[in-house]
Amino acid sequence: MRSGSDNDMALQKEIEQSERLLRGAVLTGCGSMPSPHVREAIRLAASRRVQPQHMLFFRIGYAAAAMLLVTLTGWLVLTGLRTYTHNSQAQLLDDAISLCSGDSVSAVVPSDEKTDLPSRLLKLQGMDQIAIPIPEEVEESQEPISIDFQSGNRLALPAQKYG
Amino acid sequence: MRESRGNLKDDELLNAFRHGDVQALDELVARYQSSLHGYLRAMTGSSADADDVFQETWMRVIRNPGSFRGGAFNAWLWRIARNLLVDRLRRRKPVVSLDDADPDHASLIETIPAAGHQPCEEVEETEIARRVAAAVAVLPPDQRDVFLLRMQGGLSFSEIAALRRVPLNTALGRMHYAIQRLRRELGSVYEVLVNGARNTEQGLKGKRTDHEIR
Repeated sequence: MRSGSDNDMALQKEIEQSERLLRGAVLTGCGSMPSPHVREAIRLAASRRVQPQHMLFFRIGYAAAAMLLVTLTGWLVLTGLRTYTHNSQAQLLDDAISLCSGDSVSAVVPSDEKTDLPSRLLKLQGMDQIAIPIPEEVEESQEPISIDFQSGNRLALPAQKYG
Repeated sequence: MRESRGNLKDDELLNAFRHGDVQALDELVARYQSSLHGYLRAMTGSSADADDVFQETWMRVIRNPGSFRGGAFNAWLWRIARNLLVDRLRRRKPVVSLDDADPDHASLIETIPAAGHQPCEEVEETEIARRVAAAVAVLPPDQRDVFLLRMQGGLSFSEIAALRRVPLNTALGRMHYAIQRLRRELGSVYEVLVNGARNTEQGLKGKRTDHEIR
């Protein structure tokens, strides 16, 4: 006696034989094509579905370009400000040199220019040699230093502060 | 490029579409358009309704290709199409279930108009294909549904049983009854098919024998 699954298998085999006979005729006879506008609508929807992924790359590109622009603008502004400040300090030094008739003039030198200070002052003074005693602790200091120009030919750091 | 897509499997094409290849989806639609649209047309009895459900089926695929979890793509596609078909019919007849087994009420699927005696009249086919299509169109809707899911959708009986939410032997039974009925409807045409298959088989055997002799 055959079990239920055996019956199913036998029935399935019998069906498959008939299917082989009918398949070609069924596919030819019962196939039909969608309207062209349906195919077009599907194509369009597929393109739109894909588009956002492409747009994502564009958006990332735009964001990167905007960030670059902001960074560049910031850098330009900061550089401009720094140059302006630097020029103002340089002008103050120039003024100090020209005014050195015995009066005391002080200038604030930014800490990153402290090591250039001797040669710069030499150039401004138009002198070959000058003694500028800048102690080591001043060169190593991160703070801006204050210099007093006390005479026409001599530059010295205030003795009471750095001496 | 088109040829290389033609060599890809269905799931590979779907995956390519997920990664932005629109042509891959076009290839998939081209593969299934005749059989899927034919199934929908046979089940709705209208080209316009078949167009609507066909379009919505592919829209679902386009919108949510990630819901395909592997397995047979055709089974997934037919499941979407059939669910949409059921929804469409339910909207028309909101009270009655498609698979209602209540003997006092006709099941909703039985209210689907048959595709008529000329379901595929616009398509040029051989006389046999026309006769077969006409015979399929007059099958009872439950049998027609299982028959077309199997023949056009290429679904296995277990997939059909799961889709129709019926036991496996019910799906097999409906297919068996459908084939028996088609045999009766087709009569001499079915004999032509049987003889044609027999001749082809004999021809193949002859060729094999010739080959073996050589």
